[in-house]
Amino acid sequence: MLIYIFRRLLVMIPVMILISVIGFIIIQAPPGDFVSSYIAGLEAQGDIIEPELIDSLRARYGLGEPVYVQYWKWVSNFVEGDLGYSMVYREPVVDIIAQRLPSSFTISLFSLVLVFAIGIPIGVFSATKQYSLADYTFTLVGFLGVATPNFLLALVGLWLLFVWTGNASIGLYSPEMQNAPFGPAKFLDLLSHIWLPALIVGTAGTAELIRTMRANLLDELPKQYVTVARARGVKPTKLLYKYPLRIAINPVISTVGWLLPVLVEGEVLVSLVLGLPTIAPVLLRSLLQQDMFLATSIIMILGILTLVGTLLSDILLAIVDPRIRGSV
Amino acid sequence: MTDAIQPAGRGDRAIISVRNLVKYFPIESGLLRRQVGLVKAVDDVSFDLNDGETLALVGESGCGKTTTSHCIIQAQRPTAGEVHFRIGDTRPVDLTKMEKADLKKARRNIRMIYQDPYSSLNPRMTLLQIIGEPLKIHGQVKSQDELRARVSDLLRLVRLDPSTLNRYPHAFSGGQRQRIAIARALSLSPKVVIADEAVSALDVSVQAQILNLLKELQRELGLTYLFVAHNLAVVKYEADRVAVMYAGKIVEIGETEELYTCPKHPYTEALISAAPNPDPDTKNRPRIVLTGDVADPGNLPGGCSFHPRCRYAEDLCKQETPPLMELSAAGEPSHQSACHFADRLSLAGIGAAELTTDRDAA
Amino acid sequence: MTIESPRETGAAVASLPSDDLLLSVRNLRTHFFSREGVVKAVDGVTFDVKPGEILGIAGESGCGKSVTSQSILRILPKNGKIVDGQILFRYGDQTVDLAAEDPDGRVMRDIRGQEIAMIFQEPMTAFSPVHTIGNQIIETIRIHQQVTKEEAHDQAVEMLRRVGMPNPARNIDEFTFNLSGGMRQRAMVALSLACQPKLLIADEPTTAVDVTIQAQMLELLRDIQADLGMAIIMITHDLGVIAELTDRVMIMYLGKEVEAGTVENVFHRPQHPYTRGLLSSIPKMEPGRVEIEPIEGSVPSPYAMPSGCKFHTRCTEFMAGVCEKRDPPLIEVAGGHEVSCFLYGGREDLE
Repeated sequence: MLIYIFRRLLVMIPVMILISVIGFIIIQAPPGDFVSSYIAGLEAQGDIIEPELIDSLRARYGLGEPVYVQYWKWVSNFVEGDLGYSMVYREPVVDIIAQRLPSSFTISLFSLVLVFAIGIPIGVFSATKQYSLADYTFTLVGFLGVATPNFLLALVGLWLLFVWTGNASIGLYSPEMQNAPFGPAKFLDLLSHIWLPALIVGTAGTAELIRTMRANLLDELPKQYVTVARARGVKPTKLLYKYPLRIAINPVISTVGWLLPVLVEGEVLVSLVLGLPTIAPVLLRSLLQQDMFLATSIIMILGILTLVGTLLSDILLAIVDPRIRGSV
Repeated sequence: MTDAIQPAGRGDRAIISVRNLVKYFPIESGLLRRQVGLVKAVDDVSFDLNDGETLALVGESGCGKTTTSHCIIQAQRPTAGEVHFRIGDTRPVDLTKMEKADLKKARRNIRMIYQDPYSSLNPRMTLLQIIGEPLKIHGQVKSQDELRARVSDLLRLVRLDPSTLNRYPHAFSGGQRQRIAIARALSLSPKVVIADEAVSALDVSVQAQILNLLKELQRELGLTYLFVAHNLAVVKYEADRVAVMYAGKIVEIGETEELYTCPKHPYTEALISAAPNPDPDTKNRPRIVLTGDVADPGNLPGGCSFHPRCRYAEDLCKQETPPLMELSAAGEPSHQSACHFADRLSLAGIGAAELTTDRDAA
Repeated sequence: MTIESPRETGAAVASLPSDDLLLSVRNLRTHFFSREGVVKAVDGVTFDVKPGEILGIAGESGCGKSVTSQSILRILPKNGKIVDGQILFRYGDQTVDLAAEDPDGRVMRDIRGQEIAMIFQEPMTAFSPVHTIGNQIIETIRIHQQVTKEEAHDQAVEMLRRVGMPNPARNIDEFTFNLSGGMRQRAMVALSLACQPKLLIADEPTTAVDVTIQAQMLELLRDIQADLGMAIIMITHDLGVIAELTDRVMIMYLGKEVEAGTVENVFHRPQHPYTRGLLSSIPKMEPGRVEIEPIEGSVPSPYAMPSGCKFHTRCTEFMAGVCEKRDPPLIEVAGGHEVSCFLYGGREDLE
């Protein structure tokens, strides 16, 4: 098991390097070195730049030195937590991300929980009642869920909310709770706000999961070990959850890894529409305005999160499935 | 090598001569996927397939019989060894040294039939397309009419109605599908057909039809068969000679009747004893039930691979790997066994089993 | 649909036709319903099993042998239904009609594993791949017996020892993928025999294995039957296995019984043209050249079943105006030797 985790970690290293190279290329992509374009950008906005700042920036990123030195400096800065400076927000990138990432993460996490809490039971139900009216209904709903764009759902959600409450701003907290210390009251407040964005962000994932779960379980149910268990006198309920469900859920566990970035991605448009203070609108804005340090940092962090997610789901999978443990 | 190209004595009728064929697969393990061992799927196998005969390769799963057949048609490239192929009086060619383009020509003469008639035929192709495909690939037909005529002939050859050539495989039963597979294999008028468990998946009544069809076709077309199978009774019926394989090696090879009645290797004896016989009178015959499982070709025991399961094993068997040795006198049909004690042991074959029973009972 | 009056479901007290029977299947009809139509997989089959005897059910694919066994245990696929007949089983000191029970009800669940157990073709897939073999054996014991985990564990180890596992105490914590083919077979037998059932149904247990492993399996079944004394229904297409193991045999074709009797009678004096054809299609393990003679044609599609005698389309003894007209009756040609063929009678009014 430890060897398995260790090997997975080893595999992550080249992937991380690849991601960082791509990130570096993105930063380098705009014409001229980025400090110059940065300064040009600032000057275009009528700002006066102190020469000390320019020099310190040039030194820090090793401009004028060979490309690999620049890359190395950028990567070491990144690892040390210096993600650069955002031209658009006029703040260190670290600070922007630190403000925004938690709310993004919260929404994603809630979506994930919702996806699983809704998707798995419905998938199981559909599979056990294959070709029933309920199964057809859920299949239809599932198709709609996959096919409907998130932002459309967000708009509809927003409109409904407005019709019902007369208030179109969602936010993650009520104004009076915004600055309160985190506690049970604030958590409840969060719950009362987050369900809509979480639900919208999670719709596609839920629909996908229903379909996956249904298909997996339908694959497992006719297998011989289920019949054998039935022939041994095992109860119908246990027949479902002890054996086939346990195996059918394995691929679902492995989806956790890629579900996370999918949720973050889905969150971009939803957050824009709903005006939520997440990282997504920042990513969009930074890309539009060629704020390369900010954009790259967000992409890098999302990439790393994906890697960590996959690692976690792989480890989880190895824990629940002895066949994977056995093969390493 | 020289004796393979100009085989002397018994080998001169060989259409395919397999010499010292070896196929190893690496076992990888550990952190860096280092090679930690070898699966010796086929380990130094030599035999001749004579023109016009049916030679059976028999053995249990993992014994290397299928890998051997794949290495002959170069579907898998052998690790070492030679496979000489000769038509008529032409010079033999070594298939293992051939490039792809030349192989394509050689493969026209060596075709395969597989076990599963359900998965080996493309469900989206009509019989005309399935059977005609090899003809087209090898440029054997000039027009669509000629193709239809050739395919109709082939269908007639395997006793199927030629008017079915526009139908799809799903319209046919398992036995009929196997006939289609045979027609496809015969489309290029090959010299050699390798039948890999070709009747194993069929019901007994249909299996008998296909066994007889294969025999008739052999007579009509002068085919040579390499018959890969695990069912000893089927092999007894179909083959002229039998090679018994165990853990990647041939342990015994000889004429069918001789090998079944006077086996010279303890494994052959056990296989014959284990084969269920549809005769209730033999129900209480003493059987040799081998303990344990077939040797793992990735972790073979030292010496003779069969020794841990052999009831005649002695110390010598643990230390030395016995070579395949000729047991019959010059002039008699060849009978070879890879057992240290082949000439000393008196082993029970079919028929003999009952005699032993009587003696034991008395 | 059937000649007989339909069986009343949940019929009150059923009784076995004879006191010395363990199981009596009467006129069983199991049909499958799908969009393509109705498949009469088992269509009026009657047989008895005495305690401790070994009955073979043989036939080619589509003959209904496996569906018969699934009907007895009521583990048919969803679209399969018992439409007629009785499955009378001696349960304690009473007789229950398994065909009338709720498939997932208390009685059926108690009987499965405890009274009637089953072994299947693929030992690899008989066990859940994510549970140890011990987990599943102990589970079976604890479903049916009021014992502690430790007691069940000990019983499981004992059963693994009985079936010849080399190291039962260790094997019990292993997964099937860690076991060799032969060991898996043994583990599967141990799983089904965990509660020492009175009837063991073996559905093609030797089909997917090598000859030497098959021989081990047959020896194991013989030994364990002598040891525990349960009755066995051996379902197989391999007449060799039937001859090696069973006392009596029933040959089936397209959902019907064609011939039944002692193995000696059926194999040495086969009466039905189908039985004769089957026996002459099998290559023999005998010295000298023994020709084989196949049965012409192939098994008809289950959706296009022939009328009358199901075998008439392939029969060498086909009598026009008789065989295709109606089902042949079951005729006893010798003591306990039954044949379903017009050659032996029942055609008087047709000619």
